[in-house]
Amino acid sequence: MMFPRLFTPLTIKGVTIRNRIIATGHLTHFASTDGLVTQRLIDYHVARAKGGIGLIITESMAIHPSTAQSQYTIRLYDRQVLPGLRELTSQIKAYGAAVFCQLHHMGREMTSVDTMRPVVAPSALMDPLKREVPHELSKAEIRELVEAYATCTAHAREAGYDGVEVHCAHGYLIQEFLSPLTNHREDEYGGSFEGRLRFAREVIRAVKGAAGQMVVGIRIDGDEFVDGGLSLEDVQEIVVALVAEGLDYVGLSVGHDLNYPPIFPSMDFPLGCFVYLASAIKRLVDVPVYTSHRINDPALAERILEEGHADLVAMTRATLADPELPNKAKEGDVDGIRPCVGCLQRCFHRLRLRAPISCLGNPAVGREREFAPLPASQPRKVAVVGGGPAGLEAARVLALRRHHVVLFEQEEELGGMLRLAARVPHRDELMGIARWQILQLKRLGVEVRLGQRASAKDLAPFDAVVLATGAEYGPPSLVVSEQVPHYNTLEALELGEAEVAGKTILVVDRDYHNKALGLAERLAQMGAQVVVATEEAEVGVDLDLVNKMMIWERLRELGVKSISKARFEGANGEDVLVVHEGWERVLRGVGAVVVVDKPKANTLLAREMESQFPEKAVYLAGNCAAPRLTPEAIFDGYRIALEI
Amino acid sequence: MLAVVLLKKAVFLSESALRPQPVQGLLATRRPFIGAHDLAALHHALSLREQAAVSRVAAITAGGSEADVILCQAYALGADEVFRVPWEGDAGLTDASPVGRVLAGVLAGLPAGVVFCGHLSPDSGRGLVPYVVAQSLGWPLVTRAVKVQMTPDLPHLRIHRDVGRGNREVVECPLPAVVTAVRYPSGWRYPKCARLLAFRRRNVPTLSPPSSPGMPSEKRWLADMEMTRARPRPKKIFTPDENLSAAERMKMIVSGGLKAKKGKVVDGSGADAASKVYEVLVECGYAPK
Amino acid sequence: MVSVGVLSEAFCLVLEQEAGSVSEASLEVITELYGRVGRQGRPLVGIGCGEQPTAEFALLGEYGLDLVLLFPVPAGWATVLRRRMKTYLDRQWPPVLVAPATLWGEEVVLGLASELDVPAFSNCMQLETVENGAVRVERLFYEEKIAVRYTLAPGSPLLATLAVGLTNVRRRRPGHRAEVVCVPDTGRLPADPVTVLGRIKADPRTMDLEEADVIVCGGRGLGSAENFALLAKLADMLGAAVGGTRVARDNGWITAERQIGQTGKVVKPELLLSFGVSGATQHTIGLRDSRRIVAVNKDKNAPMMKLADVAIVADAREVIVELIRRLEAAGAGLGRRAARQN
Repeated sequence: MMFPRLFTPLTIKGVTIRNRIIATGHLTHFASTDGLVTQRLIDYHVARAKGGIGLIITESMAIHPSTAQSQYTIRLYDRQVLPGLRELTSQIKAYGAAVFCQLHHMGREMTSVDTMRPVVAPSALMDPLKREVPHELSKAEIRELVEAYATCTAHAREAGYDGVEVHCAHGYLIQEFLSPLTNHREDEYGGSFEGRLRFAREVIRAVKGAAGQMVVGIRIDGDEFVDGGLSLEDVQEIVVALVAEGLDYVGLSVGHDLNYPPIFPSMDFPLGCFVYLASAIKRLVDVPVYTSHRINDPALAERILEEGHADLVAMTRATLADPELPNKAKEGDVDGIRPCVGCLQRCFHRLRLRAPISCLGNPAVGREREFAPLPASQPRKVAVVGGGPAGLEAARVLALRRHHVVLFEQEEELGGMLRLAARVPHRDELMGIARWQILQLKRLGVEVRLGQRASAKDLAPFDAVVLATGAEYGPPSLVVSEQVPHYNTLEALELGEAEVAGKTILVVDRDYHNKALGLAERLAQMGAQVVVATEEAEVGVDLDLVNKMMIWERLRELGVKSISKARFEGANGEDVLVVHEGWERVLRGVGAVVVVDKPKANTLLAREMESQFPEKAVYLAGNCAAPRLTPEAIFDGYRIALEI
Repeated sequence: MLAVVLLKKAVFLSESALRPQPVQGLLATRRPFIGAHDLAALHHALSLREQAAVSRVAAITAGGSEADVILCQAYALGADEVFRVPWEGDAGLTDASPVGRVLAGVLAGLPAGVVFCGHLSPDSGRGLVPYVVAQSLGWPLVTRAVKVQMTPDLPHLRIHRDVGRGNREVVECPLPAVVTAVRYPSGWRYPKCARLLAFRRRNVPTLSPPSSPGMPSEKRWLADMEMTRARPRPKKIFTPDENLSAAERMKMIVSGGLKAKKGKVVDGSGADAASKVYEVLVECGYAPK
Repeated sequence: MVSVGVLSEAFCLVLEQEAGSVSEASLEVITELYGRVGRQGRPLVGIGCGEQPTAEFALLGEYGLDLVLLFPVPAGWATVLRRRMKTYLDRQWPPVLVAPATLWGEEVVLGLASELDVPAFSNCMQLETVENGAVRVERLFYEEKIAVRYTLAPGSPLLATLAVGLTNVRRRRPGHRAEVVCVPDTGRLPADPVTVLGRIKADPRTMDLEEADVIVCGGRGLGSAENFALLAKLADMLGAAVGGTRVARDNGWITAERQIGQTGKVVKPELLLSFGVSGATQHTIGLRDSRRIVAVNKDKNAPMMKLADVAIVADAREVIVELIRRLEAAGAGLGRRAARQN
């Protein structure tokens, strides 16, 4: 076996976890707005359980009416959810996985939109992310909450869970009590180390009391990463004190409202970069410890176990991207595992958009039933034109369904837009998804014709045609100054150091996603003075929060400036007049302007096909249907491949 | 000349991952076996006999009659003689040094030209016995042998030692000497069925040191000894310096602890660039000037 | 100022020296001991090999050493060092004497223990002092299934080696300097009967990448299997091992056990030559501990170039071809032979 430690079972208090791969509690938005379990949620988890995962910790569930992560939070305090949960746990267990329940109270890190009640916290300090001032909990209310934890533990037991996990991480209620930054109370629930620990202790005692034979664990941040907050050494002390209360395991996490990005680490974070937190706790306690964050590869997980840093490895997003990861790893089929590239575009960002989660590489997330790639009843000859993410995905799924597929790509290399996207700094991992698709095409024996520009005549012999011809960048949509050279996105990527170093370059963001920021970073690294301007309220306005925070941190170091709500009101040679909310600013010595536009769909071949072979089944996938982002392209490819 | 192989009755604990047990239960599952290093030691002795450098190979183990299993294996693998040195103590946990002295006492009474033993045992692995034996006999000690040959002219051993990172050191050692082995060079020896059966008909002779001075146990140095289930310590792992500020710690994590070096950057064509690389190679001693 | 007289209550550790400097393993042991000793207020004394009190030994004060005793013994001669130590320390034997559990530490500590007839505990996981000042060590037995904690009787000296690779090295006392004292030569010792004839370097083609001293590494920029064959030829001439990135593995240019990175091998060579590697973090974390890096890449802004001591902007293939030509001119395969002999 390739990963012997990963597939050694672990028994925690009578619950045997068949391997060391677990999924941590993660909100899916698959529950109904009434906080009830849906078939979609069950299908989602069953797919993971079937995939061979050892333990699933289902999503964080509200323990009290004063908390809700969103409209789609399961309300564990309400007995109405129990029948649905029983169905969920029994189905997960039927496929051999253990299942734990996460008890959760958001504290101040939420908005009252979802509960229509005041937000509560240990102290009335505003949450910096949600900008709401919470109600300071009274002692009676604290008692009520402790009882709520016990009641919900009993509910979890009734629902058939193997264990419960008390969520003490991510800056939610319990961490707010623990941290001196958020707990300014002067009564016995604040002040000293013991005082701040009191609430957590009471909760764990109450949960232990109601848990019976169930496993009881916690998840806690290993380091707050805020000056004056809890450091790793503080957390070590806290964990040792809480384990003494009889915890059966400890899970490590990181990130909260004062330091958001590590909660959902993007591809800027190295793989497994927070394992050291678990390692520091593992040194001190005898109970099993799990680690998480950016562990997407079984080889890495095996190494973590081998070096003794943790007993369980959380690969939540990795199993989101490929639910079959554990089975494939067990069989040693490493190349078959669809990687999580840490893009955040469809898991984290869709949660922020209040939509159910999906995945950049795996369109079947949350659509396990309707998106199962069943073999085609009549294998057909299908041509796929374009080797970008949409074309690759269409070809892959078509071949999986036993169609005969030929892929045309006019360039000498596959990857399409992903190849461009991976060229800006810190985005090289994006190519990982294309890399995987290409490997699958090889394994499935798809005929790939590189360097061949398909014409309508070439496509005539095929039963169906999928066009994934992508999109192109036209001339810049905006001219700031006649005397200054203007480049579109593609041309800007080709700029060499000689043309850039020492110049002031204005990057105009009309794409509103990562591209302008990524280009700005690339140009600044080559030695240019970069100003990013946009007409919108901020540059990269559509980019998800974590990626935005991370790239701005780097851009700030590179000295990149930005102007939002910018109107270009005139130019005199290299001097450009920009107006921002009534303020006028002259940018002097602008040597070049890069206009990052949305690309234009390349429909040439589609029109040709329509005029020459109007009867032929032609499908448009990805940017050539409408210019969008990679996940939509892959989704299109997958969807269309199922339709043929 | 006689080559003696000291074999330890190592203990293997067989436990199912599904049913972890407390210490006593775990200790009850012990089974004797010969460790890999000890097998390598036996192999070296036997190959010396095959090279006609020694005439006989004797295998010795210390312990009660339960240790005969070990000698049976050694006999089946080709040892000419087997002896057991009666020993009551627990050599693994505390009494490595007394057992070493007793063995040395026995060896002093034998016409041994060379003594082989495993470098470490798989169960306790303290590695002390060969040092004690060599010290008591006043013989030189060569550790971690991977290849042992007799030099043609002098009664010397030429030994290849494993000195880490796959490198070897070649040493020459006069006889008599103590040699510890770390691994099997190549090939595999199989126990012979006929010899296994022959062993059953034999009584294992025991050997005691000529004068038994009553070795004091190592326990006299200890105040307490406590056994628990092992909790292996995690290996070291990159951890940001706790003296740094939160933002700096985060930056270290994001960079993976990699620091950009202010190295030389050279532009150049193939030949030009190659000479730069060549300079570094010369500097580090990997290429001639 | 600490005087040599403190030895009778000091924690002593034998420093391992590699290529002229104190090894990482020794620093780990200092870090590990400093945490323990700090609480008991006992001085920490290092024992090294050397003729001159160099600044490098004084700098060990930053990690926690108070005093360094230097014996006039060539580094690496364990037998000689332990004889000198035995003569010198006979009058004031330290209560604790430890070394890193490496080849060197083992030879010094186990050898001393057998000469003094005291117990030695090799490869200990932990060393601590308990309430009454007694010392306790923990070792693992039976394939790391059972831990045994030995508490020493009062007055018993402890000789032990400490497991390496477990402690993160830390400078706990920035700016602090250790006192360095040279022990005078105490006359000739009898010659060692064992003579060293020479060394044989490991074969880089078959050895584990993690153990290689020189590695040549190729990535996407090399572009083809033919170029990797050239790389292998270069490696052969240098006595280097071949490594590659994940892209190289995907394309079948190298096998899985030759992949460097978090999902492959983590290497720490003396010299790493990197050709056409852009430097994804996944890959570069795997070579974080390389002593010297030379990177050749067409893209000056590739992250790999920023990690290199010498970054060369050029076509990787051209450089390899030219290097092979030069090495051939200087005597084909000489590098390899030289490596085998030294």
